[in-house]
Amino acid sequence: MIEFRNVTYTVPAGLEDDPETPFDERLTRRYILNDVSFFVPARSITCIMGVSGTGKTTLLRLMAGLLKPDSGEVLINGRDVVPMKEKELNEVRRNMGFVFQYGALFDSLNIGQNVGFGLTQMKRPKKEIKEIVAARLAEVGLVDVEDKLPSELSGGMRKRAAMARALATNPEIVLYDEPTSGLDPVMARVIDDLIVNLRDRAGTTNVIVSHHLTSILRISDNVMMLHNAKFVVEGTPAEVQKSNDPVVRQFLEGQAKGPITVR
Amino acid sequence: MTERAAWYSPYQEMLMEIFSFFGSLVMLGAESFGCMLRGAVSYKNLIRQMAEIGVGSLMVAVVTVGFSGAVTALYISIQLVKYGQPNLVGGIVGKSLALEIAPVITAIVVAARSGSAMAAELGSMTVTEQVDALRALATSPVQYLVVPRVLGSIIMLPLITVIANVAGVFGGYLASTVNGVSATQFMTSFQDYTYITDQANGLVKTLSFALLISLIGCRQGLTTTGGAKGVGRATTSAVVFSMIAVYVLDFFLSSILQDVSIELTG
Repeated sequence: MIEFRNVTYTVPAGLEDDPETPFDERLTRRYILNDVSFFVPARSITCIMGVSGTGKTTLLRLMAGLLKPDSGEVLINGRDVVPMKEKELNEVRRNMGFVFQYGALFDSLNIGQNVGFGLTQMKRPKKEIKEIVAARLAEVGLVDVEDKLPSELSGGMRKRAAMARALATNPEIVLYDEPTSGLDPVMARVIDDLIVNLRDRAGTTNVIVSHHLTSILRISDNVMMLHNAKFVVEGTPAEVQKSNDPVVRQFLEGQAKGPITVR
Repeated sequence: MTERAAWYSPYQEMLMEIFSFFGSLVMLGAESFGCMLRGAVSYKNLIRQMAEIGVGSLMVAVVTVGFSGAVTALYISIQLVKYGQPNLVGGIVGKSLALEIAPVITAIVVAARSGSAMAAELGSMTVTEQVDALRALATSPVQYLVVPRVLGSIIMLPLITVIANVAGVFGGYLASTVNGVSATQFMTSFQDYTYITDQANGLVKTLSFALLISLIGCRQGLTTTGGAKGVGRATTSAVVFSMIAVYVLDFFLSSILQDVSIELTG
């Protein structure tokens, strides 16, 4: 279970171009999240959609404690991770898997070592790690790649290996940053089915950040759309599809013109 | 969508950056030593780092310090032979090498060779989210990445310096003997005037340089932003900051160690 309570996150936005105004008054901050509250139920698949640069990845990073918000509470299974130090956060992260957008596999380790990294850190027996690594890789459609380096795999294969790494420790919560982008439709479907299967079989709580509308509408229990630092819609896929909000309509219909402007 | 931050001014930013640099170095050092004291060291990574630092820097250090010893001996022997004091050459060359030339030049070589590699490697890992992936996998980047590099440098830099020092003395010996100093005069002078405290002082400097170079390299790498350009910037700044830091620290350490040596040896 994940809950955000009045979370605000800002980043430096540079200087306003007004030479008449004193320098120290020209530095501005941009809201990525502005007083955002939401709830992700346990054993569900929640998709967060929105145009590029709206802060969807930031949201995942806040959940994993990789970033601290300016204000608000981020509750993971009832515990606020915001005031936690790294040691405490690591306890929370042991129950969490994070699939990064570009895989973020460790260059210096082979695929087997990458997938088994979390298990190695937990000091699990080598034989057990080897078995889990092979099983997880097979689940994402990768066979006989354990000894290869990440640089020897294609982008899609790296992404699937990263997914295997995130799932290797059987986490309760899995955060996916664009899990199907860059994958062919068949493999995207395999990954979607794997996420659904994990929810059904292992009861994982899944948060997916994605642009892939077909996947979002097919597998989600809940869908939310982030726009201008706020959620403009929340609901089931059917409810979201019926939304009359012009931002949501423009996004779902893929229109170039509308309230969403390209920066 | 935006709000003003009235506390800000360019001078405050500059001051904050300076304090932030030294503050983060101290924090990184403290966290690294905390891990070492707890025994949280990845020995596999440590050995890999020791090999990289040693293999990468040893030959360069031997050649540069060897020739620096030879050049020092060349100038000194020409002058001292002219003034009838060839029996001082070995001592002066040995002392210069032990106290200054070998530690500083080896540190500069390691800063250029290994400090830059640390910044580039960690910088590349930072911009490709690998450092975040480590944290997401409940692993401390300091323990996994920084500690082996700091410890590897602390172990390897003194060893490289000792070997480079020997190369420097050998270079000095060759340059002196072709400029009118006999082999016996050089060796006797070297034994008479180069004390064990000189070698110890050089090693104390070396340990401090190793700590500084590795911490700066790792700090610059872990704070990299902005893709490939950022990695290049981190690498360059790691070398520049390390070189400045080595020379500044060398001055202060020399002053302190000189006083300590006088106290000890009279």
